[in-house]
Amino acid sequence: MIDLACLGAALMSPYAARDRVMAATASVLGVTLVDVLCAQQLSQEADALMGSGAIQVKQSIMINRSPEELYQFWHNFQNLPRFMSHLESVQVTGNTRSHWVAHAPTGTTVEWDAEVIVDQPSEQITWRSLEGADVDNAGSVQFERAPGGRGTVVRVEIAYRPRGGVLGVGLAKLFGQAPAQQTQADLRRFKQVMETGEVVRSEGSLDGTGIGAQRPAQPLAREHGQRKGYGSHA
Amino acid sequence: MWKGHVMRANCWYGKQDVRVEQVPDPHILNKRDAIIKITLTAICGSDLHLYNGFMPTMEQGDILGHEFMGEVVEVGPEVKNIKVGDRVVTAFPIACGHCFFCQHELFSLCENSNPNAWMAEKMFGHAPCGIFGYSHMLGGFAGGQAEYARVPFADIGTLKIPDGLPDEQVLFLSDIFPTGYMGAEMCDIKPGDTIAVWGVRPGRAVRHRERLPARGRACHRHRPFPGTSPHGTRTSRSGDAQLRRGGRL
Repeated sequence: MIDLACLGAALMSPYAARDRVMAATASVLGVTLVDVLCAQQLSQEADALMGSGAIQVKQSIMINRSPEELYQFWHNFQNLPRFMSHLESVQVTGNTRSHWVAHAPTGTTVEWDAEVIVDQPSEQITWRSLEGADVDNAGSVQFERAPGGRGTVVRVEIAYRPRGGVLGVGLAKLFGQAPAQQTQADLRRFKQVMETGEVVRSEGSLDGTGIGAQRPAQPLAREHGQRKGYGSHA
Repeated sequence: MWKGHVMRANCWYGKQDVRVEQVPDPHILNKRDAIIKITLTAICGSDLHLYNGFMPTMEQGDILGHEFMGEVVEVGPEVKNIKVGDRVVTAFPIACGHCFFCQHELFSLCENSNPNAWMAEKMFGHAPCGIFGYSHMLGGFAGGQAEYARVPFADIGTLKIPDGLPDEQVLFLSDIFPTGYMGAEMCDIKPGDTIAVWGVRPGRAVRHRERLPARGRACHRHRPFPGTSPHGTRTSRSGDAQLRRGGRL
C-alpha cells in the first residue's frame, strides 16, 4: 500500500519519468494481486473447520494402541486435560454437551460450552463451541488403523479465533504458545498417556510438555508434606 | 514439620566448569520411577562433549552422569520387578517399554521418554530417547554423578545384580559394554572376521560374538578386560553407535 502511495505521488510530480513510473506501478499492482490471492487461499483452508479468519492447526501422531481404545479415551472429554496442557477442566454436561475451561496466555481463564457434531465410533469425533463462548473454537480427531500392526494414526484439527484477532495470535506466540507446537506437544502427551499410563516428566521439564523455560536438570525441593531424606546432609 | 533434604551432585555450569554442590534429594515423579542410592558412578567419554561445551541446550545446574549403579531405596507404585534393597545397574537410555521402538528392542529410539523431543527433532529430524544427565534436548533428566538419582521406567531400565559381584565388575553394563556389544551385534561379527573400528575409546573391548556371554548371563561370566580382545582387535563405541544403541544384556 505504501509502495502504491509513493508511486502515485511520483506520478503527480512534474519531474517524473512517466513511462518508468507507470511500469513500476504495474509491477507493484501485479505483486499486490498475487498477495491478495494467496491470502484468500490460505483463509479458505481454515473454512474446513471454521470460517475464514480462524487459526487452523493440523497435527498427527502414531500411537501403539487400537483405534477403539483411543476413541474411547478421547470420547470422554474429561480425560482431555490429562494431556492438553492448556485445558484446566472439561465437564461432560449432557449427551453431546460439555463445558470447557482453558488457560489464557495472560494467566486468566476462558470458558465455553461445546457440542459434539460428528461422532463415528473408533473413527472420528468433531466438536465445536456454542454461542457465547469466550473463544470460538472447533476441533476434530480422526483415528485410522496404521499399517504394519503399528497401532493407530491420530489426526487432529483445531481451529479457533483468539480474543484480539490477529494481535491475539501474535501475543500468544510471544508467550511461547504457538498453536501448532502446542497441539503437537498435546499429541505427544496423549501418546505417553495411552502407551505408558501417564505424562513423562523430567527434572528440566516438570510438566512434561517441553514447552517454555526449562528448569536446571536437578531435583526440585519438595514444599509440602513429609518425606524421607536420602542425602548425607539431611 | 517438613525439613528439606539435600545431597551432593556434580553440576554443569559452563565450558570446563563443573562443580560438586548441594542439591535437593530426588523424589518420585512418575509411577514407574525408582530412587537409587548410588554406590558407583563413572565419567563417560561422551561427558567430555558436555564438559567442553559442544552440546547445546545445557542449563547451569544440570547434574551430569549417565553411568551409575546402586541400591534401590524407593520404588513407585507401578514398579513390580525390583524392590527396596535390590542392587541394580541403570541403563543410560531411558525407555518406556511400550512404544513401537521399545517393543522392537530399539530402546534408544523410545518415543515417550524424552519430554523435550521437539528440540532434538528440530536438529536431527527424529528424537532419541531421554538420557540421564545429557542436556535438555535429550530430556533434561538429572544425571547419576550424585549420591541419589531418580530412574524413570525403572521396571525397564534397571538390571538386578546378584550377590558376589563387586560394583567394579558390573558398572560398565550401564553403557560402555552394551554399546560396544550392540555395535558388534549389528555388524554380525564372526570369529575370523577382519573389522575396522572408528571412534576408539581407551580401556574397552568387545569379544567376538561367539565368545560373548549369552543374554541374561553376562553378569555371571564376564571378567574385567584390559583394552584389547584376544584376537588383537580393539573395538569401542562411536557417537553413531551410541545413538543407535538399543540392545541390552
